[in-house]
Order: sequence, then C-alpha cells, then structure tokens
Amino acid sequence: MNLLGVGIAMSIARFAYKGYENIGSPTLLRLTLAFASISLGFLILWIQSMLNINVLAKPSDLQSLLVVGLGFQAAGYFLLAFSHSLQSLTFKHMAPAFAVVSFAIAPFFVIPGNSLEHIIRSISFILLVYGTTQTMASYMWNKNKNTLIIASGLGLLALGEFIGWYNFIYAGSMFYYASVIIKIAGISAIFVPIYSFPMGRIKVGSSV
Amino acid sequence: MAVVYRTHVRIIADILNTARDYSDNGSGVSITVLIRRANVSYGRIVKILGRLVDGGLIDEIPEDKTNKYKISERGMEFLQVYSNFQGFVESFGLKI
Repeated sequence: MNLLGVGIAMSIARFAYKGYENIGSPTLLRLTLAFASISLGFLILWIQSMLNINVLAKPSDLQSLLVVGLGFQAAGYFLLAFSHSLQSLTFKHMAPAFAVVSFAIAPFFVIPGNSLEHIIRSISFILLVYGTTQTMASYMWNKNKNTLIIASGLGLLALGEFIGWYNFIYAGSMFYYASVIIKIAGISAIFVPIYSFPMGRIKVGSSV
Repeated sequence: MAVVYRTHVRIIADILNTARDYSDNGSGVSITVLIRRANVSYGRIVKILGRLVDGGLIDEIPEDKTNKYKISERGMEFLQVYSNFQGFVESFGLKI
C-alpha cells in the first residue's frame, strides 16, 4: 500500500516540478518539494514494513526508520500548510500560521522524548487539519469542485495520522494498517483532480 | 479588507495577456497601455519587459518615438501553460 503512495505522490511532485520548470512559480516549487517529501516518506515506510515482515532488522532500527519516514511526510505537510500561510502577508493574517506552529511544537513539552513517532504524528495531524480548513475556506470562495476533492483528501490524510496516533494507546492493534489505508485513500483523492490536467504534454522551455 | 498581492509570475501573465488582447491589428502595444492595463509601475515594467524580450516571450518592435511590444508564439505557449498550472495550483486553494 505504501508503494502506491510513493507512486501517486511522486506523480503529483513531477507534475508540479514541470510547472515550476516552465513558469518558475515559487508555489509550484513548494508543492514539488511537499509531494516529493511525502513520496520519500511513503518509500521509507514501505522499506520499513518490508524489513519488518522479513525480520531483517532490529526492532530499534525499524522504529528509527518509521520515525524518519513519518518525519519526511510531516515536512511535506508543513510545506503545504506553509504555502497557505504565505497567501496573506500581514501579521493579522499570519496569526493562524503562528497558532499552528504553537500547537505543533506543544507536544514536545507534554509527551516524553521516547515517543518521537507520536509527536511527529500529532504535528502532521495539526498541519493537515490547518491545510484542510484553509483549502475548504478557498472552496467557499471559488466553488471549485477540485478544491473540495483535495480538501477531502487532506482531511483523510489527517484522519489517517490521527488513527495512527491512536495506535499509541492500543499498541499492536489494527490501527496502524487502518491508518495506512486511509492515508493512501487521502493521497489518491488528491490525485483525482490532478489527473484531469494534461500531464506529460507540456513544454515551453526555461522559466522566465 | 485584506490587501491581495500579485505574485511575480502573475504580473508577467498580466503583461502578456495585455500584449495579446490590446495589440492594434497585430502591430503591438505601447508601454503606456501595458502600464495602465497590467497595472505595473514604469520602473518595474521596464525591467520585466527586458527579461521577457530576452526570453523570447515578447517581441520588441522599434518605432519612431517609442518601441511597441507584441506577444510572440512562445509567449502564447507560456500563457497556455500558465493557464493549466493556474488551475492545478488553485485546486489546492493556492495562488500561482
């Protein structure tokens, strides 16, 4: 399942990079880095699950790989949330972004240091909730069906992170697998409107 | 009311759109029309036009007193690609 996430996220990153290459928009560069990071996260999680199934690594190494994979995904979600916060430049409009950062760093002070995985999951959850609400707010303005589908996809990713975090309470349960399935559904929902754009048929040359 | 800033790419697209839409019989537009319609200051538009001419997106046509600017084939392609990616970015609720 994680391998499917690698392919979908990388396709979106490739398309965004093509746009950056042609028109040089910083927003497209941030989207490229965000989805490349998410894709890399899925790849590391896939490697981790393969090593886990075939019992090829020590449990501590597997845990470290899991943390690194989730970390890359959190970095991707941060870039998505950051793009939304950059849309308004005044302090008044930056306030929600500062609130998100405050919430995002809060777990570092309330959760013991040995549960890094859950700290990263909670940061990802908050960033995704922020991204979802901002995308939904945009939908209220533009009434674009694609925006609604992407907001739903981000919402599913947030739900996936939340369910994965729930594994903290009921360790060894099916929550981890449910989390992966919901996250794949979320990234697939993001890909649905992207698929309608002419992927692979765009070429102008260098950016201006 | 919130102030909405245009990105650099958006300003370039506005200049190219103006050059395409307000060109008199394909003879190009003056810099005054570009300043007024694309809403860009003289100092800034001179720099941007220099880059667009160098990049082959706009053709500079020398006239008696002032130059005229005409969108090139490559500029039209840029606008087409810009339009596609604008839709892509707006799907995320962002601005290009």
